[in-house]
Amino acid sequence: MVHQHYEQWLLNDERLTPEQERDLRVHLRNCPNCAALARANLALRAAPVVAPPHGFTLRFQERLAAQRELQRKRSLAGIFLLGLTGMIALGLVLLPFLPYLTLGPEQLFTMWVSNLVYIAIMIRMVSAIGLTLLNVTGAFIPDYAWILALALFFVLSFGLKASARRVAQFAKSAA
Amino acid sequence: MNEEQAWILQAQQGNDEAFTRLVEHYQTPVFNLCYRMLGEPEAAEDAAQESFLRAYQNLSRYDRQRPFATWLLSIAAHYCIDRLRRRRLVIFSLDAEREDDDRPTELPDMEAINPEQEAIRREQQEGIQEALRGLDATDRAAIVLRYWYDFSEVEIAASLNLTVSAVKSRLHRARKTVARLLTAQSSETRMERMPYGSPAL
Repeated sequence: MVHQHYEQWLLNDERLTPEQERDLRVHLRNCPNCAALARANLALRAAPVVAPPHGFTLRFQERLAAQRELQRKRSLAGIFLLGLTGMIALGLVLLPFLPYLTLGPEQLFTMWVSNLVYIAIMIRMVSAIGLTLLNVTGAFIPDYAWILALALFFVLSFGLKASARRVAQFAKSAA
Repeated sequence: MNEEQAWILQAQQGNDEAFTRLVEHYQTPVFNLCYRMLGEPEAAEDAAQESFLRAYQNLSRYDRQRPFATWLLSIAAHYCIDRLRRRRLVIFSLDAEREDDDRPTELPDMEAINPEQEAIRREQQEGIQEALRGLDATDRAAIVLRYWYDFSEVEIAASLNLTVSAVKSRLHRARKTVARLLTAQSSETRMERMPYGSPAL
């Protein structure tokens, strides 16, 4: 048998029959490479399992507690950072309104009343302009154009309603 | 359901005491793996603790169909491989600078029946540790799982995320390297014992 065959037995750590073991032993006497492999296999097999120093579990529990504390601190820091960012954002949003805080109650009341009066005047102005525009454009548009527009509106709304009903029916049948 | 499975289930439900029992049960195999991988007791202790911590954090992801020992040792092996790679990348000169004094020295066992045999055993152990140091991180993990935990090639492949053929070739290569290094060590020791002796004599 050739050297490679024995080497494969050793490298694959194969289980050998008594006859194969005898053959291998003969080969090992003459082959230093295979003898070294066999010695290495034996040495590795004989190596003991090393145990940790006493108190390993206790040290693990301490480490776990420290890890938890670290995670708690990290999450607290995260919450604080989030809160701080929110406060800054809120401050930025409220910044334009900050001057109002310095005003007295009567000044605030006057300001709100003047704002309300301003809004009321604006509404009145817009409605007056709208009515004038309607009157002016109404005179320019002929009667048949109004009739056509109304008819078109009616047809469109009827068509939309019909298509919505079709979609509902299709959905029901699909379900 | 056996005792271990009950502990795992309870630990998955958040029972710390059950996980502590698992730590007690598996501390030696995990520590031994880390020691064989890293070669230093302090680093092994730290790695074993970290492995258990990772197992604790990922316990919800553990598949109960798989043996717990395989899963746990796989975590430890991956952690040690990463640590060895980082050590090589960041401070690759550490091994070269390390003096013999830094090596883990086991105190002589006073209760040993034969001190001479004990000394030889210790020497052999240091030799094996030195030979393991000469292996690539993944090869080392494969050898440790094979010889200390009797993992099959399929189990090693599953634990180290390798193919079975890759494990086979890694084991072949590692065995050859260990054999070469152990032979070199024994010839060095012979030379130290007989510094002026000639091979012919």
